[in-house]
Amino acid sequence: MELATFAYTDNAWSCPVFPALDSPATLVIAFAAPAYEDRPGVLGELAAAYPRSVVIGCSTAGEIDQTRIRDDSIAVAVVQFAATRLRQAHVRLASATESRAAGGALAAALAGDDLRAVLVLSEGLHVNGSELARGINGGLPEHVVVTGGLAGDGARFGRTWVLAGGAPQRDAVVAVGLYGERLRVGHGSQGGWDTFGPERVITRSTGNVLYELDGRPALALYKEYLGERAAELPSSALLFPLALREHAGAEERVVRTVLAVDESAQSMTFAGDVPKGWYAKLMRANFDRLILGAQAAGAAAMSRHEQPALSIAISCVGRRLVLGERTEEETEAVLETLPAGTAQVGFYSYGELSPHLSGPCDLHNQTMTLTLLSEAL
Amino acid sequence: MTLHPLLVRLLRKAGAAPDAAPTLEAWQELLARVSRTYQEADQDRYTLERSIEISGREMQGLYQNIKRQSDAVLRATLEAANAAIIVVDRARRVVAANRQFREMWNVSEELIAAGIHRPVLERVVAFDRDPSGSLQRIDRIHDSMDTIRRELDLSDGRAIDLFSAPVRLPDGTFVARVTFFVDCTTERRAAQQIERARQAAEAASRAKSMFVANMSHELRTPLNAVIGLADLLLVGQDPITARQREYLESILASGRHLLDLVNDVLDLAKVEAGKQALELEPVAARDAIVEAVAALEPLALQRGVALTNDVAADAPPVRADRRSLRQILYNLISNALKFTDRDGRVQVSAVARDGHVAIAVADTGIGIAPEQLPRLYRAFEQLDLPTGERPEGTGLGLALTKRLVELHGGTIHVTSRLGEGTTFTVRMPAFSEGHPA
Repeated sequence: MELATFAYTDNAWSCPVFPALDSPATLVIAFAAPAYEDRPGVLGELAAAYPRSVVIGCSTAGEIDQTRIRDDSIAVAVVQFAATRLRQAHVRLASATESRAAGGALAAALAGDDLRAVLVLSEGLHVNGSELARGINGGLPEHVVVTGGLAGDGARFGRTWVLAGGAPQRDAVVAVGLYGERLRVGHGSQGGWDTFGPERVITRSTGNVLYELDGRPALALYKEYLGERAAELPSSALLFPLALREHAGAEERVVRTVLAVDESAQSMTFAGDVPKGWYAKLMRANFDRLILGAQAAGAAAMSRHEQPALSIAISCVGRRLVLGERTEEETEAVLETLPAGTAQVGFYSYGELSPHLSGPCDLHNQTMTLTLLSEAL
Repeated sequence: MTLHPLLVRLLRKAGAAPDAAPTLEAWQELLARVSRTYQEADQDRYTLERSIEISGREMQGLYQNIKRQSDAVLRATLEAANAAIIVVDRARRVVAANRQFREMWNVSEELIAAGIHRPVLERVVAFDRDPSGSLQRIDRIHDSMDTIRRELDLSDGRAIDLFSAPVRLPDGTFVARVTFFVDCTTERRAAQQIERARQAAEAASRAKSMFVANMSHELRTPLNAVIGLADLLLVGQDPITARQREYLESILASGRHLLDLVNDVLDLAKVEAGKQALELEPVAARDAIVEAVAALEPLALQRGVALTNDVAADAPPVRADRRSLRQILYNLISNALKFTDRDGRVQVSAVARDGHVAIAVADTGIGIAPEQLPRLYRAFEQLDLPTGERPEGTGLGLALTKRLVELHGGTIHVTSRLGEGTTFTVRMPAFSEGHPA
């Protein structure tokens, strides 16, 4: 496998010429600031340089290039596989209710005997990530590793897009299937948040839209906690993700991140299900554990890998909001745990898709989720 | 000088180094980044402080809510209880006491509301017959793990049942002691009266039985001498006048009646004292009836009454003491003869009926008035005759008969119509193989 990473910053590509790796077995991954939708020429150049390759990507809430994080760039990885085949699929997704069907359609398009891994990038504003994951899982055998994330738009929550067929597309989900015995896929996903305050019951919700906790408007509760930072909604709601569990005795919790708020309906839209009757607790970041969590994700992803290897880091925008100027500590922590020479691209997302250790893919929020790709010799 | 890793990163990003003076551009970039970092730190602190404050307030509200709910449940439970209850915590504060408690110990609502255990306790102890040391004793018990039950006998005459138990958390920590008081003055007094009456009755009954048994025995000896000597005079060689013979026959008849009476009393006393031992064996009802009828035939002839028997040939044997069964039949038949006028009939029959043999003695005699029936089996009571005469006999026969029948596990039953006749039916258990005799 041949691997190259580069970036577009300050109106220029960081490499004088595009690496000559174009082939049907070449995967080009581009994570871009949302504004590049308005400058189709730049992404067009990339697509034109790799006409035979599979080119996918999405808009971000921050592009990860090795350990650096930028907000106005394009971070690119080009991987030419020796013995791994690729297939791309994309579907439209105009509303949350279509999420499961969209997942099912992608699985149907990609299913194949030696399918080993699927990388999924979805629009990030109205998708129900839990349902999308369910749709994909339903159509694929258990051993296929499904990872990915939801596109971002900085902390603005205004527009997100995915790159499919060489051009940005809104309201869409794009996925690439990786086939072949020699592909090695590692994955890891870790949080680093603590729950606090009272446990509340979800008394009114529809799908991923939350109206009431303990009979009170959820939005009012968030505003009370945010105080003067309520002005920064919806992004400031990322400071307090929700930890959900099915009943008071349940051990397993899932984390949900806010995608949007609706003042008129007093509702909040989350990146995944917020089922009525479940128990919810606010979470807050534990700074050191965020970094340790990123490290742990790296450790989990690393097993049986050859060089060169590509790390695709998808981290939650909520972590970036908390870590601020210190965010790069987590991208550094990840890369430090991976074998020397590993290249890394990634983005800050509105939700991460990854299996829990191993098992079916699920939506995660507020995690650092890693996918490590390499090929056996 | 070791710089904070964040400052090292900020320097690098600004294009500056720790060991060289920066360019103006790098310097300004560094300042902008440092300023942003401070602002972030401010915001973080604001968010953290605010969330601690609000969640603290929420937790407090939650605690108050839970406390209000559990207090309401506790109060409703206490007021509904059928006992006076007080709950005192480990710091000896009165957590709760119900209305029943205030009324029982004459404690005001204000005193309970004040929540101090000592003055409340003093009110309770004031009712002790001997209050010395009571406070200290209760104090010792209070935070022990002991469960206590006690019957209190108060100076004002009330009898109170006390139950006291520690309230413990699941981990064993003592949090309070709850004490129940139930006023059972009425119940305990009634029970005492009943017990006293029972003891008196038993003593009287024992004395009576003893007296009767002793007296009967003492009477029989001289009586036998009187009867024997009178008989000797009557049948002897010594000449006696017709008048003397008349007197002797009268002495003999009276003496024999008196002996019957004494014998019946002795038998009854034996049965009542539980000293009558039965020798249970299979006895053919038919044989026993034929024998009894034959023995009483002379009396029937004398009274001009037809005495017959009608016993089913297949009547199974009864499980009985032969002597007692004979006594039962003899008593019932002689009674029937006694209360049946000349030209009347007395019939004795026996039929088998589900595990029992029913022996019936039916007469066409004077009958018994319904209001007299309850007195029928009482010892020493004779029913009034319609003629106003006193009947012959001791008045013990039926009492003894009933007790003997019951001793066998049987029953006796009577039907009667005044002026038409009376039927006594005795149901005796049939003898069956395999059933222990």
